Parts: sequence; C-alpha cells; structure tokens
Amino acid sequence: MLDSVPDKHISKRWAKLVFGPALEAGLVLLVGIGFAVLANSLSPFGLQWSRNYFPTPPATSEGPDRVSTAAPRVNAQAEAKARIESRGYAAWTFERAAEAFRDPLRLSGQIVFVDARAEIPYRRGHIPGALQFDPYRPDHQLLEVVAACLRAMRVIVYCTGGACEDAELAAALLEQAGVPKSRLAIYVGGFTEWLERGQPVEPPRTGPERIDKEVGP
Amino acid sequence: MKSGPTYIELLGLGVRWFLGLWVGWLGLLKAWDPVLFLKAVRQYGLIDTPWVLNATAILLPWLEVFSALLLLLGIAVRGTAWLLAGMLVGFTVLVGWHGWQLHVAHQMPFCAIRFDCGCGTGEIHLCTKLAENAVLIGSALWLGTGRAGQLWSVRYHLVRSCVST
Repeated sequence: MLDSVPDKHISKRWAKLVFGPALEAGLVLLVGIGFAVLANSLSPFGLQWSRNYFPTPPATSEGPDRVSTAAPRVNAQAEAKARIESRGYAAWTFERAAEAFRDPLRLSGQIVFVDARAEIPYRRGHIPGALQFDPYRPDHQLLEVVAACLRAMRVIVYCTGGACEDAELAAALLEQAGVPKSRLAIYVGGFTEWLERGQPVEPPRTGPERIDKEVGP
Repeated sequence: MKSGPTYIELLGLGVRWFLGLWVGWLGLLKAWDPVLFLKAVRQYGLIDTPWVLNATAILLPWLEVFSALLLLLGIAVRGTAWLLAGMLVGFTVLVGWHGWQLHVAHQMPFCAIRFDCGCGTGEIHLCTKLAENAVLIGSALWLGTGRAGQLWSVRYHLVRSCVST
C-alpha cells in the first residue's frame, strides 16, 4: 500500500509532463489545420485541393532516375530526354529548336513556342514570340494558347530544361485540350540552354546577368 | 520585491523567438510559392494520390506559420514546441533518407550532396540542413520539456493538465 504512493506520484508527474503538452499539441494541430485551410483559400497563390497537378504518366525509367531528379546535373539532359521520350513526346535538341526559331513559318504562326514557366520568370525573359502557359495555373491562358496551338503545325514547349518537368505537364494539358500529340515537341535544354547559347530573348538583355537568377523556377 | 527575469528566462524567450522567426520565415517562403513546395514534396516519391499531395503542400507551410505565430506571441508554448519537434523530426528523417538515396545512386560523399529539400531555402548542402534541423529540434525540445519560454507569453498554457494541481 505504502509502495504505491511514490508510484502514484511518479505517474502523476509523468502524466503532467506528457499529457498536458500532448493535448495542447493536438489542439494546436487542429486549429492550425483550420488556419491553413482558411489561409490557402484567401491566398492568391493558393492550391486547389482536388486537382491533379501532375497529369503526365510517370516516366517508365523509375528508381535511380527518379532519385536523381534532385541531384546535381550530371547527365541531366540525357535523363530528361529519356524521361520525355518515355512519356511519348518528341524530345528536341537545341539545334532543332534553334532551326525552328529561324524558320519563317514561326512568323506566320505555323510554328509556336510555348513557355511553361511561371509568370515572373517569363516576364524577365523568354524566347521571342513564345506564349506563356503555366501548367499549374492553366486557366489564365488556356483558351488563347490552345487556339494558337491548334492553328500551328508544330508546337515546341519548354521550361527551364533538365530536371524541370513543367514542359511535359504543359504538353499533357495541351494534348487534353485537343492539340494532337504528334504536333507537340519538348525542347529538352529549355530556357537555361537557350540563354547559355546566346540566343535572342524577349525582352532583350541589357547587359551580362546571372543566368541562374534569370531562369527562375 | 520581485526581481527581474533570470538568465534562463531570457534565454528561453530568445530561443522561443528565434524558433518562431525561423520556422515562420521558412513557412512563409513555402506558402509564397506553394507550387515549388508541391514539386519538392513530389520529388520524395512517397505520395502519389493527388489530393494527399495537395493537402500536404497546402497544410504544412501554413501550419508552420501558425506555430510560429503562437511561439512569437507565447500561446500554448509547450504544445506548439512539441508539435514543431514532431514535424521537424519527420522532415529530418525524410531529408536524410532522400540524401542517402542520392548518395548511393550517385556515389557522392554524403556531405557534398546539395539539393532542394523543399524546406523553403532552395538548394542547400545536405549536412548543413541536417545540422540546422538538429538545432531547431533541440530548441523545440528544450522549450517543450522545460518551463523556459514563459517570459512575456500571452498564454503559456493553453490547456492546464488535469493533474497539474
């Protein structure tokens, strides 16, 4: 009987140490979830709960390739090319993209470049004449971009290049909207390579600037 | 006559504010660009269901901001510290595990690995991130298990334990 007194005391102390903060943590979590739901609904950058933001089928080369998406860019272009082709899109090199850019058909809208980056990096600089189409916020430009793509013979979609999958996501959305897959091509090197190769951009550069700052996410 | 705050109380206040500011800043960075965070969560390859992925990317940043606000104001300090410690331990395990996978896949030294862990600060060296998280977890555990952090708190105990009297 006497032995149970210290035990009771210890269990009370333990309960005091654990139970109160744990209950409090649970309450904070519940209220925090409510706060998050409200903040997301009010935020201009808020995400939709049920939308599938990644409609492309997973690349067939899973495993180490998937891990390497966040790795330093060793063979990033080769990996990107394999990933794009495994999803059934034509993977274009810089040479093909540059050739299409110089083609007079581009000026008549038969060849269209689509920039799948977000609005801010697009405004900082993009391939001249490229239409912006952010696959995460497609509602803004969908009608205009789809109309232009349906008129074109060839649509070249790009993002920052390498591990960036946004061009493929944009291509998948365009395909869902009725643009034939055979017309869609992904420029593998993306805007990073375009800039590195000293190609024209819009608006024009005014001086030497850091590429990594310019390309953005 | 009541004396001024002790060194421990002042240290507790400093740690509480440091943790609040740091976690709040990281949460706001993610909340500011949730798409970037969504992509970062996806890269771990643990969640395939779209709504679970979206819910994770929506809830975590704002939960961090909310916890940071509570810490800065001094509301439910111990419970918030526990919650943060739990979240931080989970993130640290995930980041460490992903780093280990990269280390194995690319045969690179563990501490030379640099990637965007989705923590809000962009690309960072793995070991730097793990050390940073260790400091944050230590701070949260210290606040959560002791009585430090009571100074200038609006409501230190949100819930008084039923056995506390």
